Amino acid sequence: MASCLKKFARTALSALFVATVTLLWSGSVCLAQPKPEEIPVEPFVVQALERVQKSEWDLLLKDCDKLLETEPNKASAILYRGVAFNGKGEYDNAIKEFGRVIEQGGQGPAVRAIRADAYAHRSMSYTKKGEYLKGIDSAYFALLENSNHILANNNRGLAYIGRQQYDKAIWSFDRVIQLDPKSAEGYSNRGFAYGAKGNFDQVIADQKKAIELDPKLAMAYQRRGAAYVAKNDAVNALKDLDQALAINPEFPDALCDRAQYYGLAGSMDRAMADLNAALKIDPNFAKAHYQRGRAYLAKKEYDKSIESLGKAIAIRGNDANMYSVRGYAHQAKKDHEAAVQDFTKAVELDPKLETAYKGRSDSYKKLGKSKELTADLAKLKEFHPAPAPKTAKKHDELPSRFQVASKAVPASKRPEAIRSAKEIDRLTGLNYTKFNVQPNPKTSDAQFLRRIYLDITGTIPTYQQTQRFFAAKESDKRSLLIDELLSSDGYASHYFNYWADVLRYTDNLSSDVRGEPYRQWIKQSLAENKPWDKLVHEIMTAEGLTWDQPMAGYFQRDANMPLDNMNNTVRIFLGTRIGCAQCHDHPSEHWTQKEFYQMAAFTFGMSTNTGGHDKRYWEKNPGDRLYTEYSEIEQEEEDRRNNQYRFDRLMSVNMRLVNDQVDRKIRLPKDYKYADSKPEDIVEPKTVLGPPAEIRTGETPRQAFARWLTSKDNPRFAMTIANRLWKQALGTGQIEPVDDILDKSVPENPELMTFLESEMKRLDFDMKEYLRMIFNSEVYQRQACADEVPLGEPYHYPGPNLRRMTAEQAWDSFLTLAVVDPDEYREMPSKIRSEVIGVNLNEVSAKKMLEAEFKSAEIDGNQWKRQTKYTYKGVLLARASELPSPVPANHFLRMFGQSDRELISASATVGSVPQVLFMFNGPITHMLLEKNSTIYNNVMRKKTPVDRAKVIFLTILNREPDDAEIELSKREITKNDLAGYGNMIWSLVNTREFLFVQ
Amino acid sequence: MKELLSKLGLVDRRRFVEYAAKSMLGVTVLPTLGRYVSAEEATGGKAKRLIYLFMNGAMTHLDTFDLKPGHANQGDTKPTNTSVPGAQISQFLPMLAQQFHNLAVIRSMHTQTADHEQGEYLMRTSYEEIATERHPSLGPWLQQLKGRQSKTLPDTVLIGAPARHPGAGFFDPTFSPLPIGDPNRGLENTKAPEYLTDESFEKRIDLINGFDKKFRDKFKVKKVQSYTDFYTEATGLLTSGELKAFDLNEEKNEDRDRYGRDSFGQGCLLARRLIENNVRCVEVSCGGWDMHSNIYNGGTLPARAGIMDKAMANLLKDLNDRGLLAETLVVLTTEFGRSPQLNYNAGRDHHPAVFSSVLAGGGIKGGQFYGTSDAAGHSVATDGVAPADFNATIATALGLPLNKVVFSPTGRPFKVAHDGVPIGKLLS
Repeated sequence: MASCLKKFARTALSALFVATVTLLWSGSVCLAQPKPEEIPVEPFVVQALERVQKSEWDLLLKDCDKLLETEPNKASAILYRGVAFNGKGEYDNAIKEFGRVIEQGGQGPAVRAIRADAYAHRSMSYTKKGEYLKGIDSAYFALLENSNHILANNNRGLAYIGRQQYDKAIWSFDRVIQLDPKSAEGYSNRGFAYGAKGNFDQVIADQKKAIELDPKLAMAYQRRGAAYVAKNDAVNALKDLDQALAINPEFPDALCDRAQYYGLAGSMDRAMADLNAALKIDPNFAKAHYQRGRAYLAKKEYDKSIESLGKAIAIRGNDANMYSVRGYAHQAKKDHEAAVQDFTKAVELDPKLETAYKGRSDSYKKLGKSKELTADLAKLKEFHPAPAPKTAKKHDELPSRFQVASKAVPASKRPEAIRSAKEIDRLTGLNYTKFNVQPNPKTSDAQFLRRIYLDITGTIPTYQQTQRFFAAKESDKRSLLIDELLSSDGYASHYFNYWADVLRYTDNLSSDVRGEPYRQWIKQSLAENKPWDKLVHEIMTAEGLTWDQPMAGYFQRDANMPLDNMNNTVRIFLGTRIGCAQCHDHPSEHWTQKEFYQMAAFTFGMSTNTGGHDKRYWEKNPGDRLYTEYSEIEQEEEDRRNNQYRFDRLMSVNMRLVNDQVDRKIRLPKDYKYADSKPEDIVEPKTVLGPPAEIRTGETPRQAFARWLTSKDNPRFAMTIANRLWKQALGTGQIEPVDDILDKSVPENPELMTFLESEMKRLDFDMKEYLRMIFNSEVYQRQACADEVPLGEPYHYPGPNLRRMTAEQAWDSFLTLAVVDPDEYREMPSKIRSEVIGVNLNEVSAKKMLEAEFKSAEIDGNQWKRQTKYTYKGVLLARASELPSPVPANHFLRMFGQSDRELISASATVGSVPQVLFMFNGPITHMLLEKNSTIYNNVMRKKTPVDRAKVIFLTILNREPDDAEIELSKREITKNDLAGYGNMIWSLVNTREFLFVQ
Repeated sequence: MKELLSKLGLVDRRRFVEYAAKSMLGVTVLPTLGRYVSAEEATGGKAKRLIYLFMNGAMTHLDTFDLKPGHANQGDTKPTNTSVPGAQISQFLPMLAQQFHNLAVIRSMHTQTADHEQGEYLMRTSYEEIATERHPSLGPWLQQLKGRQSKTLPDTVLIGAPARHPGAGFFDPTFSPLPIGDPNRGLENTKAPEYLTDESFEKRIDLINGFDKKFRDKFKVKKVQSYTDFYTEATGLLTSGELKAFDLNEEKNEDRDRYGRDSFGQGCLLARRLIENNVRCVEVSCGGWDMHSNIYNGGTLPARAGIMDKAMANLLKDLNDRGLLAETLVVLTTEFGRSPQLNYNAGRDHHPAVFSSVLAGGGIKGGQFYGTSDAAGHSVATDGVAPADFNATIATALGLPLNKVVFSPTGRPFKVAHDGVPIGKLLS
C-alpha cells in the first residue's frame, strides 16, 4: 500500500499540479470586489451577480441581450455576456465580448472600473484556453486600471500557475489575501501554488484556512486531499476527497483525484466509474480523458488508451505529458514510428521531460536508428550530470584581476638622470644665495625611505622593505631604490590616484557609459610609461566606443558639455583657466569671450553620441529594427515594459561613440555683447596661445587641435606637466596654482623652470625619467621644511614641503600595516563586461541584446560577490586605485579628503572630526589590532619587549625608536603586557608623524 | 598692477580678484531687488535652526499636496480634509493633514531641468551645476554667515544624503557637513577596539602625545597644529557625552516606532535629537520617489507617502511639544515634480514645469497654500516660485542677509540664494 501511495503521490504531482489548470473553479468570478464608493451599483448588475451565483448562464445572456436592445453599447451588459460565455466554457466568445468593453475607452472612474473588470475576466478566458501569457497580461492591464482589483490579482495568479511560475503566483495570491483577508479562494489558490512547488504542509495550512473561512468550499477539500496523498496520508486523503464530493457531487476534479486513488488502490472499476462520472459532467474535461488513457494503458487496452489520450490532446494540445503517455501506448503496441512521433512532440513542448526521452530512446533502439539513439542517450545523461571535477571548480573561483604591465626604467639612463639632478641642484643653489636661504640638511635613510615609497608607490614601506634598505651597503642605494620603485606597479597605482583627481574620473562617466575601460587604460598607460604628449594626443583624437577606444572616456566624462570640456582641457593640459571667458571677457587676462569660442570651435564638432541615422556607423537605423523585434519577444507585458528601459539603455550605450560631425559649427551666444561680432555669429577655430593650429586637408579640427596642444612648440604644454610633476615631488609648484598659469606668472626660479621644461622636452615627455631626475636631486633628498612659510611668500625649496598624506596614501599605508597582501584584490578586467554589452547593432537580434543586458547584470552581481570575499566589516580591502570612484561619502578615503570627482583636483588634506574618529576606532584600526594582521605577525615573530617595540616603530613609522621612546614603550608593556603592544600600535598610527610625509 | 599681482601669493591675488569683481560687476551697488528684499527682511529671522527634508527622485505633486479631484489626470489618489477647513491634501498623508495649520504648502514651484542630479543641485544651492565651480548648500551657508554654533558638535549633519551632495561647496572643507549613512548606527567609529586596555581614554591620548613629541617639537607649523586641534575636538566629542545626540538607542521604542522604522523615519527622529542638542542644520533624505511605473499597484506610492507622512508629522508634533517648532524651520522639498498624465505604465515621469514643496515651523505662516498650478497640474498658474526664490524664503526666515556677497576661491561672487526673491506671504 505504501509504495502504491508513493506512486500515486508522484502521479498526483504530475497530473494534478503540473499538467492542468483546467480544474480551476470558474466560481472565482464571485470573488468579492469592493466597488469604489462613488460608483452606484446598477440594479442590472445586482441581478446579473445573482445569475452568476446560480450559474444560470443562458438566463444571464438573455438579461444582457434585453438590456442591449435599448442601450446597444451598455458596457455592463456586454461585460456580463462575456462572463456568461466564460461560464458556458465558450472562451473565444467571452474574449470577444470583453474586447468590446475594453475598446470603448474613456478615462472616467466608472469606465475605468468596468474596463478593469473586463480585463480581469478576460484573463480567465485566456487561462482556460491555455494561453497563459495572454492571461497574465490581461490581468496586468486590469491592475493598471485598478491596482486593488482582487479578481485581477487572483486571475493573474492562476495564469502564473499555468505558466508554472509558482513564486509569482504566490505573490499574486498574497496580494488577494492582503486585499481581502476573508478570501477563501485566495487561500485555497495560494495553497495550490505552494503544492506545485512541493510544499505540501503549506497546502494543508492554506486549505485549512480556506475551509475555516468557507466550510462549503469543495475545492479546498479536494486540494487538501491531494496534498495528503502526497504526504502518504491515505486516510485523510480519502476523507477529504469524499467530503469535496459530498459538498459538490458534480465536481470533476475531485472525481478524477478519487479515481486515481481507487485505481492505484486496485479498484479499477470504481476508478472508471468516477472518471465516467467526471466526463458526464464535463465531456471536454481533458484531465479525465487523460487519466482514462492512463488507466487503459495500465489495463493494457492500448487502443482505448490511445483513443482517450487523443481526445485529451484534441482539447488541450500543448501538454507534453499527454503526448508522452500516448507514445508509451503506441510503443506497447509496437508501433514505434507513431511512438517516436508522440515522444518528439512531447519533448518539443517540454524539453525537460525525461520520460519522453527515455521512451523515445527505447523506440529508436527498436527501430535501429543508432544515431538518434546515441543523441537521446546523451540527452538522458544530461539529466544526471556527473559531479564536476574539483580542479575545474577551483579554476572558476580564481577571481579575474586587471593587472598592469609595468615598464622598468633602464639602468643605462641613470647617469643622465643624475647629471640633470646636479643641474637642478646648481640652479636651486643660485636662489639659496640670492634669497639668503639656508637649505635643510640631507634626510636620514629612514626619512628618505618613507618619503620615496609614499611619493612613488603611494604607501609606506613594509617592515621587510624597511629592514632591507637599512641593511643595504651600496653607496648609491637611494638611486637604486628610486629605479626599483619607478619600475614597480605601485607607480601606476599612485599616479592613477593623482590623475583620477585631476581628470575627475568616475566609474559612470555619463548616461550609463562605464568608466572602467578608460580607467584601466590610464593605469596601463602610466605603467608602460607612455610619453605624456602621446597619451594626451591619444585622448584628444579618440574616436569610437569606450571599450574599443578607452581614451574616449575623457570626452564621455564631459558629454554634451563641449564648452566646459574645452575649459577643462585647457586647464588640465595647459595649466590655464579660460572659464571666465565663457560668459564675458576675462577680467584680468587677455582672453576675450570670442577667443574662448574660437578655442571651443576646435572640439565643438565632436559628439559623444551618434544617432541611428548616422550612415557612417549604421547601415539602417538599428532602433527601427530592434524595437520591432523587441515587441515580438515572448515575455509578460509587465516584464516587457520593465525591461524596455534596460533594453533602451544597452542600445544607447552601444551608440555612445565619440565622433566628429563636421557640419556642427559653434555660434556666439544670444547675449553676446561685444562689438567685434554679432550674437549667434558662427565662430571658426583659432588658437590664442603660441603658433596657430593649422587644419590640414582631410583632417578634423580636433586632430589639428591635438597636434597643436601636445606640440613641443606649445608654450604651456611641456611647462604645465613639468610644473605639475615638480609639485608632486616637492610639494609646491614653481608656479602656483599649477593649473592657473597667467601670462605674467613668474616662476619661483625662472632658470630652473626653463630647465625643467627643456628637460621634459629633451626626454620626449618621458615622465618616469623626469621624476627619476628630480628624485635623485639633493633638493628632493633634503629634510622637509619645518618652518612656516608665510602666505604669499615664495617658497625657495630649502627642502620639500611637509605634507599630510593624501587620502589615498593614508588608506594604502593602513592597508600595508593591516593586510598581508593588499595587492591581491584587483579590479575586474573591463573587457569581461565590455565583451557582453558590446554588440554589433547592425546585426544583433533583440533577443540577444536582452540576454546581454541580463548577462551584464549577472556580471555585476558576481563582481559584488567577488568583492565581499575581500571585505572586512563592510570595507573592501584593496588599494585606493582599485576601489570604485567616487567612493561613498562616508568612506575612509572621502573622510580624508578624496575628491568626489565633481571638480578638477578637488581633493583636500585638511583634518576633520570624523577623520580622527576613523583613526581612533575605524574598521581598519580595529583590523590592525587583530590576530594575523601584518603588524601583529611582525610583532609576534620577535620575543623581547624591546625587539617588539622596535618592530612596531619600524613597521608604522619606518624608523628605529630613540631611547626615550623605548623607555615609554617599556613602561607601557610592563604595565599592560600584550595589550600594551595594542596600545602602542593604536597610539603610533594616531601620531601626526604617521600622517605627515617628512 | 599685474606685475605686482603675479608676485603676490594666492591669497593676495584672490583679494585682488574680489576687489576687481566688486568694482566691475557692481556688487557694491544695491541689487535691483534690494527694496523688496529689505521689506521682507523685517519679517524674517525668526528661525534659528533648519531641518531640511529632501525627497530624492522627484515627489509626485498630484498624489501628495496638489490634487486635482475630478480631473482625468488624478489617478487613484483621493483628497482628504485637513485641520484647516477647506484645505485638502492627499489621502496618503493623513497625519500631515492634521498638521496642516503648521504647513505652508507651495504648489507653484518650477525648475529648469528634468535631470535628477542637476535638479537636486539647483534646489540645494540655487545655482546651476557647472563643471568649474562647486556651490555650497544651505547648512554651510548658515555657518559661513552666522559662525559656528556648537564647540563640539558639527554645524550641519546630513542623514542618508547621496554622495553627490554639494556639501560645503567652495567653502573651507572644515565647513563640510558631517555625513551619517545609517541613522540607526548614528555617528560611526566611536567604539574603541576591544584589544585596547580599559584604562582611560586620556591615558592613551597621553601615549600618542608622548610618542609624537619629537615630531611636533620639530614641525611647529599650522597644518600640524590644526590636526592636533581636530584631535582635541574629537576627544572632546567622545568624552563630552554629546555623542548621545547621535544615538537613537536613547529613544524609547514606542517613539522610534512612531516615526516609522525605515531610514527616513529614524532619520527624522535623529534630526530632532540633533536639533535638541544644538546642531543647527540637519538634512534628511528620503529616496524612492522616482516612480515611473505602477505607482498605485503594489503600493509604491502609498508606502512612500506613508513613510514621509509618519516621519514628518511626528517630527512637527515633537518639535511643537518641546517648544522648538517656533525656532525651527522645517522644509520639505524635491528636485522637480512628476508628469500629471499617467504614462502607459501607470506611472508618472519627470516634470519640472510645476511641483510642490512645504515650509513649516520657525518664521513660517502655516495653514496656507501658496501659488497654484493649472487645472491639469501641468504648469504654474499663479505665483511661480523658482528654487532660488524658495531658498531666499528659507534664508530670510533664518535671518540670513540675501545681499551679502561671498567670493569663491576662483574669485567669483555668490549669494546665499543667488538672486531669489523671498515670498513675504509665507513668512510670519
